[in-house]
Amino acid sequence: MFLYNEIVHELGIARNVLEIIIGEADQRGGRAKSVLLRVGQISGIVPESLEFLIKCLSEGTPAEGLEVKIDIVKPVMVCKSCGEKFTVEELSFYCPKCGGGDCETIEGKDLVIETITLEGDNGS
Amino acid sequence: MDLELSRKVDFRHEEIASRIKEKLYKNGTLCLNFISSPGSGKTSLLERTLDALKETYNLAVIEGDPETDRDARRLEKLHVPVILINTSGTGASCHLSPAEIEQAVDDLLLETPPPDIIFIENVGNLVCPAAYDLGEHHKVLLFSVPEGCDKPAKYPVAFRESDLVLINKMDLAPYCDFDLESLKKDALSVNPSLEFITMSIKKGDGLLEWFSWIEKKLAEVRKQASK
Repeated sequence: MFLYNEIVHELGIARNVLEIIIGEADQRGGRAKSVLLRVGQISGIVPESLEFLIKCLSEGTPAEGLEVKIDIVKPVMVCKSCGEKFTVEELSFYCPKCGGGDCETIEGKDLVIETITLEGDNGS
Repeated sequence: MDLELSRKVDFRHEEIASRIKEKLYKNGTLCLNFISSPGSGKTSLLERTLDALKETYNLAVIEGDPETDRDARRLEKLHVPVILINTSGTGASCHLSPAEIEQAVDDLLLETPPPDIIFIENVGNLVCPAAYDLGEHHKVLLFSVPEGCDKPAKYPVAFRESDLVLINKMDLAPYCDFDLESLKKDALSVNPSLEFITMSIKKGDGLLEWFSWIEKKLAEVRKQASK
C-alpha cells in the first residue's frame, strides 16, 4: 500500500493551517480569499509543498480557490556573548560582531498565519 | 477585509515535547534521538551500544520505522524493551513527532526500575527529523563517510540541531575521497558547539569514546534530576 498522504509532513501542517483559516473566516461570516503565511527558512517546511497542499485540500471546502502567499523568514539570532542581533545570510551561524558561536535562534523556525483576506457576507 | 492574525501554528507540538523532557528529568532518564540518512548505520550502532551497556544500565529503544519491524526485531534480540512506531500509519512517514512518542515514553518510564537511557531511532532522513524536538536531551547525528562531505551544507538544520556527530564507516575513507577536516569545518560553521567522534561500527573503532560520551551525558541528566 502506498498512499500519497504518507510522503510529506507538510500534509498534516497544511490541513492544520486550512482548518484555522476556514474557522477564522467562518467566525466572521466571511470566506477566505487569500492567506499570507510566514515560513521560517529553518522550519523544516518546504514552502512549495505547503502551498500546493493547502490549495489541493481547499478544494470542496469553503476556502476553495484560496490564494496562498508565502514570505520566507530568514533566521535571526542573538549572540549570547555580546548581545548582537543578526540575520543569518550565508551558511554561518557565528556572531558577525564578536565571532562567538553561542547564539540563540529567535526567528526562522516558525510557521505563522499572518493575514487572511476575507470576502463575503460581512467582509468586503 | 484583511484579518491580521499573526498566529503561530504549533506544528511541532512543542508543548508535548517539553512535557516529555520534564518526565525524563524527573526519572533521571537520558534520552538520545538518533538522526541520519537511511543506511548510515543507526541500527548497527544501537546493536553494539545496547550489547555493551545493557549489563550496566537499564536501556530501552523507541524505534521509528516507516513500514517494517525489521530493525525492531534486530534490537529485540538483545533483550531490551523496544517500542516500534510505524510512521506510515501515523500520517507522515518522514519523522517521529512528540505526539507519537509520548505514550511510548510514558510506558517505558513505568517499568521498574525505569530505564537509565532511552534511545530513539528516528526515521532515516536528514530533513524532517531535524525540525522536531521530541523532548530528547540530545540529537545525535550519525553520518557515514560514503555520504560525502557536502552534507552540512545541504542539511544545515540537521547539523545545527544536533549536539554530536558520529562519523561512521571511517574504514571506507580511503575509497571515498573523504576529507574529515572539511566536513568538520562546514559542520562547525552551522553549529559551533558541535562535537565529533570518528568510528567504524563494523571494526569497533571509536565505540569506547562513544560510550564515554553517553555516560558523561547520563551523569549530567542525573545531576540535573537531583536538583
